[in-house]
Amino acid sequence: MQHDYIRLLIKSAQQGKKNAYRELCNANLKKIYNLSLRITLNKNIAEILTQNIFIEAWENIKFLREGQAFDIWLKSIAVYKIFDEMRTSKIKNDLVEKGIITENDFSVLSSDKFENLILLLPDKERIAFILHDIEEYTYEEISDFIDDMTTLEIKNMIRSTRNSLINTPDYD
Amino acid sequence: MTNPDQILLHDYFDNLLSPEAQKEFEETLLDKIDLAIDLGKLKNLQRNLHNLSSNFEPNEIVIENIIASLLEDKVKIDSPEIEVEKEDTKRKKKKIKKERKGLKALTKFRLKRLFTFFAFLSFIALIAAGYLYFQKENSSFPWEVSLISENSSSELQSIVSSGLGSNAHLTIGKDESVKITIVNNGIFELHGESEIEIISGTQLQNSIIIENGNLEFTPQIGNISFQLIHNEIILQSKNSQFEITASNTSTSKVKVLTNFVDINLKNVVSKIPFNHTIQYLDKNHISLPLISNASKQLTKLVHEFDIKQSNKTILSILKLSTKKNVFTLFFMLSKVTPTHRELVIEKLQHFYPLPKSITILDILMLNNDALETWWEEIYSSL
Repeated sequence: MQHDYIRLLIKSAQQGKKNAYRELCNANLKKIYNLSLRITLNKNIAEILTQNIFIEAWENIKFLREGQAFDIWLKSIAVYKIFDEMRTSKIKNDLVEKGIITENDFSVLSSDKFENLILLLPDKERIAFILHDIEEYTYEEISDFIDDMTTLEIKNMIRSTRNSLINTPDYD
Repeated sequence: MTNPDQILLHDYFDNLLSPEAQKEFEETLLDKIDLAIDLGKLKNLQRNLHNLSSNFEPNEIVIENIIASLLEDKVKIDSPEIEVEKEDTKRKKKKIKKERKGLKALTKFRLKRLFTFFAFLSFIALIAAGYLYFQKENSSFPWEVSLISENSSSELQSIVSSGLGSNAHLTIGKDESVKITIVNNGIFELHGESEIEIISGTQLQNSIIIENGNLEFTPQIGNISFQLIHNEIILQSKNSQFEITASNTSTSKVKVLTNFVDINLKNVVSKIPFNHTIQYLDKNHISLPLISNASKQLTKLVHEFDIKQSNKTILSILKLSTKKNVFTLFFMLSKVTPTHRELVIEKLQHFYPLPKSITILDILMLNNDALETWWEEIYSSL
């Protein structure tokens, strides 16, 4: 279910109205940036990825079907682009080459203690946990992104991540 | 993960069990307390994840880069850091041009420096005056304690004669009652087995921790500085009368009697208006507020909602809610998914249309200023 105003913005953006798309960007920018950052753990990479995600969404917005939720559709583009970067490290290599980041610039801390527990998880556990428990992807969908693990292995990993989180002394 | 109970628990939590298996598991929970506790922890985790806000702010230039690219400007999509470097270069060039303007600029600069020096001196004087004022206002003084109950322990009687200062602990027994007067601030009464600790007692800030007990606070006109901490939740009286039944073993309750109180949870402030009651769900979560004459059916649904925000419960609450339940609905906004939020807004709007200065999108996005404006609008029309 989408609000009339959002529907109007999508329709206008599909007709090529960039101001309408700017509104859609504004409404979803923080969410997409936070998703990118929580997975990549680097602000520069997350910012460039966010830009690329919104540009790709603009190029494909004509394919968004009527009634399809924009934020879910945008998130699917985001997850695809983020995983593409995780596989190829294209943006990362470019930034390292330009001397903007180093190979070790991969840690982000939040003002929220609970979020930090998630950010400090090992890569695979963090990514799978974020996709399942925050972004509501199914175990099967996640196994499409993580090539070297079966659905069952992913399921077990996410569940032991949950158990370790709720039993962390810092948690609550 | 090999423990069959744990596998079942997570399958149940992920909603992967058939209705029959679900029911069977729920029956198992009655016998296995450890499993029930683990389920509670998982639900708490889910709630925390649901409330996890987007804490990281992207650089402002990100959106400009996107729009520039759409406008097919020849702006290269670079890292914001490179963009900042470019900006720096531009600024430096401008500065060099300025320096070439000669003597006039130099005189201007000297005058500016003189002005800055005097401004700095005034600032220091202001800070010193402020500090002295703060020291005077912040000096602590004892709170007056008087007995309400007829029989009291000798320990309590000695406290009554000496008063309560900062960091003091006060424990009163089952049949004891005391009245504590905070000069120029308010009065609170403690009844029955109660335990409090005073954090600060000054003209600027009066603050206590309540471990357990029954407390009723009545402010003096103009008071804005009484705060009460229970578990990890800070309650601030906004010139408001309220009562709290605090407990470490069962559910604690706050009833607001006049005006409204601020409830501060991990720096997120909720304003609970008069005639409403909230319950502490655990150390750092509170229930939806309920008006004192809410129907039994709605009360039951709200309790269900506090445990699990199911589609059925949300729709039933929306169906049953009337104008008097507007604040229950208002506080649902931040606890439901955007899809349900839209329905809650629709229902709220039916009773109190949005002020012209805010849009539905603002509320859908849980914009704090917009929520505050709408809250004020509703509160002022009560």
